[in-house]
Amino acid sequence: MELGDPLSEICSPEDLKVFERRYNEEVCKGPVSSKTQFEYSCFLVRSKYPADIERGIMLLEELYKNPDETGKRDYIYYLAIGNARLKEYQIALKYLKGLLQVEPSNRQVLELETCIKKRMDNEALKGAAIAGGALIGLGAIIGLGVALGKVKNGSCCCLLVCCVILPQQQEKNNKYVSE
Amino acid sequence: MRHECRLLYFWFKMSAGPYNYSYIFKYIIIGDMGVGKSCLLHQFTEKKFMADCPHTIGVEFGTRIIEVAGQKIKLQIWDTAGQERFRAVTRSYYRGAAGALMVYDITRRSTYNHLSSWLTDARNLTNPNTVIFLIGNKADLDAQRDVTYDEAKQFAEENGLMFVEASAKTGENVEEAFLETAKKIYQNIQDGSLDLNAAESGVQHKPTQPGRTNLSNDSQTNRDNCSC
Repeated sequence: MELGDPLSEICSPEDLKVFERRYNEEVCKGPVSSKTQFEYSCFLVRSKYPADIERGIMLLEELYKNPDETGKRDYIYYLAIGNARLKEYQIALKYLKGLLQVEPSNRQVLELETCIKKRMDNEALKGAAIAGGALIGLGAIIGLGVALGKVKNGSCCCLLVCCVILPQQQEKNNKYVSE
Repeated sequence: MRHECRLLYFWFKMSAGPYNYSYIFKYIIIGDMGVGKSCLLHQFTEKKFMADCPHTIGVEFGTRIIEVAGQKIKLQIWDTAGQERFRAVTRSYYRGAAGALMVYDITRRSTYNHLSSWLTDARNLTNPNTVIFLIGNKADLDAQRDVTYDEAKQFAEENGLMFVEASAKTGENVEEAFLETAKKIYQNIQDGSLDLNAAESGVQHKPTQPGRTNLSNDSQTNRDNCSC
């Protein structure tokens, strides 16, 4: 309950199930009404599972592409939420930009935009901290290797550091960054 | 060494729990489209009137810290979209609300006539202790009035609701509606009728840090819509 913003707020799995059942029932009977599809999507993009969010985005895109639909503004807003929750920030911001072209002073949209930008900043900072930490670790290993090499007056140790430990460390770094 | 100690103390102070309030109360704002729900929220959190307010998409979120009986309380307010197409989505936010502000427009009779439907939803989807406050908004437009004060007052009494007429435009009674709801919830906690341990009470207790001073948070206005 403490968390309360459009991106960290998660729907209850029970609610999601109710709307999923409704959607599936309609699918069995014939074409799904846009109301049912939209309601189901609104819960999907607020699920904690990325696979649900992806499905929600797909259903919203489907609705958005239908030329007869009237609630496009709502679909775009939820598309932005879904994409932002999948960390597809650039796509989310593009959707919001589209909304702001029509309603430049829409506070709700502006607030979601601020929220997304804050997340991007936080994650960039985290990434930098991890990369920085890894770099210091790397420096220490090289330093140790050099020192040991000097003490023992042998180049084997240095070679070991350069050929075995360094590439391993590099691989780890890459993993962190990609995460 | 002393310098390090000071740094450490500062870090501890900064990191030792961000709570400068003792409770969190969850509110929802419900009612027909265009009655001024978002404007009421905006007036309460920002003390400003939004003249041109677009329809809310799904829900909007706002917070403000208030004080009741010397206790700092953070109000976490979910402002729901009034459009029918969102009804199913917004219903999922009723659960666990400690307070519900039910709004109608005094110049549009239909919004008043729909109150029983909103009330049924509120009663069915919240807990029995949820405080429901009825607000007749747009009280500044008295010349265009379509619902009398007495009629609405009677409806409120019959259904055990608290009631005021307010104006998001002038700010009249807006503060009162939000604060009176909080007072009633707090009173329910004090007399034991609201069990904080019960699931979905809509209230969270946050024991304040001992020795921690509350810096200038007196009825602090903050719309930190993003706690990320």
